[in-house]
Amino acid sequence: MYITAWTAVSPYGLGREAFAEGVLARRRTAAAVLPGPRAVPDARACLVPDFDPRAVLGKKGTRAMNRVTGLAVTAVGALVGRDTGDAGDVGGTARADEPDCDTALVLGTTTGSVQSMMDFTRASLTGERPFDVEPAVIPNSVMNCAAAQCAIWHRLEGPNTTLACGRPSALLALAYARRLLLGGRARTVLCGAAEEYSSARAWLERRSRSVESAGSPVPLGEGAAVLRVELGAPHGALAEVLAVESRFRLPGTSVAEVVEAVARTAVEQAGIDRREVWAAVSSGLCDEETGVLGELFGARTVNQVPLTAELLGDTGAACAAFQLTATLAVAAYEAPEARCDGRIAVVTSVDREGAVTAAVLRMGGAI
Amino acid sequence: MDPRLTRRVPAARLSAAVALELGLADAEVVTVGTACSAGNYAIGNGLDAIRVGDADFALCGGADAVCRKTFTAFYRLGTIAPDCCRPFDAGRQGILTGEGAGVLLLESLQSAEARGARIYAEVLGYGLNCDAYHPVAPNQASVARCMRLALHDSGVKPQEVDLISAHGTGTRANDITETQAIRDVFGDSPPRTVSLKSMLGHTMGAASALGAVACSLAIAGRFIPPTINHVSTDPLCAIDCVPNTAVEADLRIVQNNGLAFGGNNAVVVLGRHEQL
Repeated sequence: MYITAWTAVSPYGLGREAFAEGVLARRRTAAAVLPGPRAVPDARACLVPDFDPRAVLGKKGTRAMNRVTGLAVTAVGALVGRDTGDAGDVGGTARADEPDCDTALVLGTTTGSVQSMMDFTRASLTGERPFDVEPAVIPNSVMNCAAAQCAIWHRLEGPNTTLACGRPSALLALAYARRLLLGGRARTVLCGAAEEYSSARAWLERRSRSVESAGSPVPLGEGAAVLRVELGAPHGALAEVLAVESRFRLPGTSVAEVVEAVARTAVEQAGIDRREVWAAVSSGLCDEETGVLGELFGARTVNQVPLTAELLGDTGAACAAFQLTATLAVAAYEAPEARCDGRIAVVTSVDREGAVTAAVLRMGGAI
Repeated sequence: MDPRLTRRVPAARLSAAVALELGLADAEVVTVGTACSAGNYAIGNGLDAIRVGDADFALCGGADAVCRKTFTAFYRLGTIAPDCCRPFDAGRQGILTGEGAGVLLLESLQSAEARGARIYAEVLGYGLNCDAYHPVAPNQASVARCMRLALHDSGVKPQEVDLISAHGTGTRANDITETQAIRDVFGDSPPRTVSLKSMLGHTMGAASALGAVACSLAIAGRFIPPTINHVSTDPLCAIDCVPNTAVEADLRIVQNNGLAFGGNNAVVVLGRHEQL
């Protein structure tokens, strides 16, 4: 399975170019959170600058659109734009003319928009009557809202799947996408993840943190990143997905031992000697994870691709999606003429709920 | 707020709780968030994972609890029945919210036979598509296409299907759209089509998993579960919904429909396994 295009809507701005430029410059994006209508507990966060679904997508069909849906629709649009083709550039606001039955969408999330869900429940609790709620926002309170809106907006009639798997979502989406392709259920899969910054999410994170491991908290981030994957790549690939492996961390086992087991199995599955690994890409949200990758693949490997958590914050469900796009950005920058250089990257992710996943990519891939 | 409560919010907790309880260390733990068809999505993913060799066993299912958010949404849309759920009935007034969980264990035939497992049914195939049409209203042509995808994937002709477990919510929008889509695919004499929601209510994320469980039991137990609370069939829902009383039936192939907000359609086809 090959990755043939990608895009990102990130704290660096809209599109692939902005993302690649920011990652290569290793520019951190945390900035002061401007006072808004809702209080947040954070002084700093990594937000997609000036992002407003109505400004980016136009006023038609966006009146009730929530932020995570806007991020996802914008990102997916960059990969389906009939005009922009493979550019991965955001900005095409035109809706697709023809329905597409052959393209699937697999989108990762944590819980959809907790802001929309809590606003909706709050309206029911505080309204004069318990059903005094705005019907237009009902779809926003369902977890599959963003993926469904991407389908409506871009006329994607193929399989449309929401994976609520937290941080590793994009890696699990790759495994899911491979099954769809092998089963002949789609010819192309757009897979990625989206997460919004909101007051509700910020407060939930803040209240949850007291049971997390110590250390200075990573600021929250947001955004969406989407990859296009296919079984064949006659026009060349950005990377080949060699393996995706998952485990679950049970109580009494350390993050390090599970990450090591997953990463070892993944490279074995891929038929790769671990000394061949060029980049080991940790989520950067867990020191143990980065540490064990360095021990396993060599200290040099963990510095090849910048830690997206340091640059973009904790982007929740979008974490692994941004790790993937950062890896693709670095590989393209380092070998702009020779895409098929065959270097190996291992991307890992650890979710707080216990899922641990690793993907092995051969950069450039075979054609 | 208690951190133990806030940490329960992420949906990944749902499948993680199962892995924790059963001690599943060597497992891909995934929560599918496709609302009311999630159970069928999970079965499809489990089937493919086994077919391509990613897993030996797949625990696939759905779970949901009655909550204020969901009830309020359906109430505001005018779809909550005041008394009971009467799918396909001329006098139907909507859904009843329900809750529950259903899980199926999938494995290869070789694996099931090797451990002497009781085989309830064979998962023949499934279909997924998206209406890409409306956030909450179903689309007849797209629902029909999803059923055709599932039948094609299963290598089954429409006339070979013995029973359909409909999504059958008991709302006007669903029941008419779904039964007309069934007639588009199956012609003027479609297989008997029942709604478990008449008995269970709409269990949302659990609904299509519970539907698949019921289909498996129906195949193994050679019966059709009825559509209860039925008085007179809506002429716009021209199907035999097996009103009020279960009937004995020799079922070879059963189709389980799951539709969801966002046009996330998922249809699973189950078949009887003839144990030699």
